[in-house]
Amino acid sequence: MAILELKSISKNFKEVRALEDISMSVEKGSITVVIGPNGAGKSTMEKIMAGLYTQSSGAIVAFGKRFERGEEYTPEIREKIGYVGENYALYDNLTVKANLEFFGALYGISKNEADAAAQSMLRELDAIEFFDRKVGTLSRGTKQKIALCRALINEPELLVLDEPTAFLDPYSAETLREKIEALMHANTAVVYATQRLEELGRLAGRVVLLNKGRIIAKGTLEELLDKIRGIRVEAVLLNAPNQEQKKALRKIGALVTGNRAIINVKSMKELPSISSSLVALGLKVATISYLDYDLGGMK
Amino acid sequence: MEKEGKVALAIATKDMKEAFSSIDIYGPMLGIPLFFAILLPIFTVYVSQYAGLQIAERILGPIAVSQTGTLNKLVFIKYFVTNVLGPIFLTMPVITASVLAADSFAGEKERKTAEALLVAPIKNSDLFFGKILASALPAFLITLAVFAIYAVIINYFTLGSYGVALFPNATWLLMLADSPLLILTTIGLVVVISSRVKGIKEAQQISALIALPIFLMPFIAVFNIFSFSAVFFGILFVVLALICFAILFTGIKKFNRESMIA
Repeated sequence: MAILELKSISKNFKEVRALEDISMSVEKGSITVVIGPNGAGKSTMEKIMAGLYTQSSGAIVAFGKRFERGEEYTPEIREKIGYVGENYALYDNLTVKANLEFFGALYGISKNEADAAAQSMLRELDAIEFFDRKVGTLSRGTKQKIALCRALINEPELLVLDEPTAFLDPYSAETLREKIEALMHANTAVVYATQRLEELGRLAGRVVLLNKGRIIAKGTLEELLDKIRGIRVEAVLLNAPNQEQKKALRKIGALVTGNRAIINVKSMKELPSISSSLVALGLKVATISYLDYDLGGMK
Repeated sequence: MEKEGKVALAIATKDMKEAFSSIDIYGPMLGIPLFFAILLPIFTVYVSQYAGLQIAERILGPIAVSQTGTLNKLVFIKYFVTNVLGPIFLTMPVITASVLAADSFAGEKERKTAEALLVAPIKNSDLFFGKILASALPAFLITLAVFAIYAVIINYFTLGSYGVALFPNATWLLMLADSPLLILTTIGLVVVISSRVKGIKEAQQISALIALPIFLMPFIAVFNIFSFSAVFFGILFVVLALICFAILFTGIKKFNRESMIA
């Protein structure tokens, strides 16, 4: 069941078209990874999902309620959403305790309940020792953990995260990913923007590839890999190619290392023509073999 | 208390905690009130003792000339503390309120804390009232304290020298009654401006313009262009109430969350 649907969403900032014709849905308890380069529109799309921006055109259906162009989420919808953006959005002059109590109060959570929830989450994220420290004295990574606690304080049904592991050490990043996986089992849907390909394999239920404000592809990770994978073959040559031969190999998209050339083909049927092309270049081929894809550790 | 009231109070409490945890705020919040509460009365006493007659003749003209020497000084003090210093005093709540209010939305924007606030399930009215309360309460308490200290010092002098207590009087009391509305109007304007500018400095610069009409009032009194009587402050009360309501109503209606973070 979809808890959030974006229907042909576009977003303009004055003359800049940040998003164009975005349509996607987020299922209950799912993890959706949004991946794309800088400036692709990931943050803008996530801010629209979280209700920080309104769309310039299109409609959003959030938890069964429809929002047209320019319409802001109601408080009842906002109650169900947690968000951690590119900024921590924590008050540096207040302690972690005071920050989380404040945000808890915004969601109608009492001080005691907020303290208990905060301490429990901080223990899980290995950050309990900072509970009475001022946020301004903490490292980036710790602030990121506190920001996640803040976003989870209201036990949201939808959690929107914008590159949450950006400033975390590998151990903390892994702890965070485990926490996010646990959320999925608790039926919290997660939308997670990242530039780290290795996180795709670790987390992805569904993937949305975004570039220049448009969705390039979406689907499960396997569906996307099937579309882009093709086949990689490795040709082992009897002699290393000379400069002219290297140039010619690069023209056909081959990656040359020593006497090995790795070439992408669409299907195994192309192998004979590849072999002929190599011979035509004056190269002597020892073997041609199939290589599997390795996308950030995910096969 | 309804949830909305609790949310506004939570925002106000947080803002006040944040503001007063920074040492920078104590300069304008203590320095200016101390100047008004202590230095101004001392200045008034000094001027009345040593130059009151001459200045009274210049300012008050025939009224002063017709009185005896002692009463001239008293007439001068009464006129000076009410008609000249009164309007100057009104700048104090405006300044203290605008210092706090300029940080309200502009500060959240500058420190990039606005997102977490805006994603929460709070109404625009909660946000506005919370921000306004955070600025209004300290400004009003400081104003009350300063008015009281000032009145005590002047009364101490006039009772000792002339056997007359000048405070409280109708004009002064109406000015005190005007001060919360002046605070709310100032804060309302500054908060609205603050939500539309990029940072605190811009908000402070624009909010300084709000205090400008108040700063002109003492000069108007000194040059006898207009007399700021009890009637004037009574009318001002009504006018400020209407302006305050209009600003708050419009500000909340037109508030755009996206402008806080885009």
